[in-house]
Amino acid sequence: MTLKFRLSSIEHLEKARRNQEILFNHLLNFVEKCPEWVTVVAFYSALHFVDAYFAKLNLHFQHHQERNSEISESLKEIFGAYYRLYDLSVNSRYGSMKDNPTADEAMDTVRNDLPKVVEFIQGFVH
Amino acid sequence: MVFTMQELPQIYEKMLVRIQPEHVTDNIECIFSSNFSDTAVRTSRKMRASKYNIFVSSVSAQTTTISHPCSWKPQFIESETYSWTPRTWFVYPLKQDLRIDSTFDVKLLADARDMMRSLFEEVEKLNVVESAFYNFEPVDRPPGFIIEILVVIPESNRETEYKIYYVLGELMRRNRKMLIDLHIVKRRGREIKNLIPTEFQRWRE
Repeated sequence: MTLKFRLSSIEHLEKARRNQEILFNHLLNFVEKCPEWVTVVAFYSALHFVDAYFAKLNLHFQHHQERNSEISESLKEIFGAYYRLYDLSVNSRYGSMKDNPTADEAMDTVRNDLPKVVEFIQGFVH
Repeated sequence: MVFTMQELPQIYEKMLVRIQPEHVTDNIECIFSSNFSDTAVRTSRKMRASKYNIFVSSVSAQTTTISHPCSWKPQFIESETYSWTPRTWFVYPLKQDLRIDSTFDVKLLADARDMMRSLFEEVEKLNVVESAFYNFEPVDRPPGFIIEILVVIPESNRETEYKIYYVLGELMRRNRKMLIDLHIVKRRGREIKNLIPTEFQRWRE
């Protein structure tokens, strides 16, 4: 059975900001030890920001592929940043230890990719 | 051959292939490589994994599309009998549990291949890309499969990664019907053969 959550835009924002808070207040202190979880939480923060935008348009996605396709069309300004977060998080979750992002990669994506997504989306949803 | 000549017009019209029992019993992978020549170069080899047990190749022959279940041996084929000039080839793995009598959208697969060609041509222009692989993963939502793509680079490089994602984004915009899942694999000194799952095919023209 696939659970189908339909969060509102505000609920997605709450999740996105909670992930951000955990990331910046806690996880980044351990980035050398667990860069993979830094990228995973960074990605899910970005995902909920993006979903907050889509929820305003009454779009709800169950699968990454459909969401990514929609981002390529309607949020193309942040597609590269979002997809890098997605790709790194997939490597983190399913790859081997050698596929894990390095601490430098994790810091790079948190400093560059995540802010691009957040700033762009916050221009549309508050 | 699974399809008779009388069936071909119908197949072409619908661009669908009906899955026959023969499709799920054969264990030979056939690859048609045309290179735009008059004679198709055919190779067959044992499958790498038993996960997939058939490959369907759609071969364009002027205005006809033929599906080969690969249950025949190349030496039995005579050029007089098959005078087609293949312009392209397509290899598609189907999982063992594909239902008999289900249908398969060959046209969409051909479109998918064109799309991948476009992607790989762009990606190969990036000097650091070492190799690219693809796989079709059946899913239970439209269009019925995900095009999985792995692009191998030696090490993490933000600029290169952004270029690859840019190409991907362009492609996704142009092919909204397709489900695409691309991942960049950082080789990090490892051998490629140890990195890529066996169901993936190396991209080659």
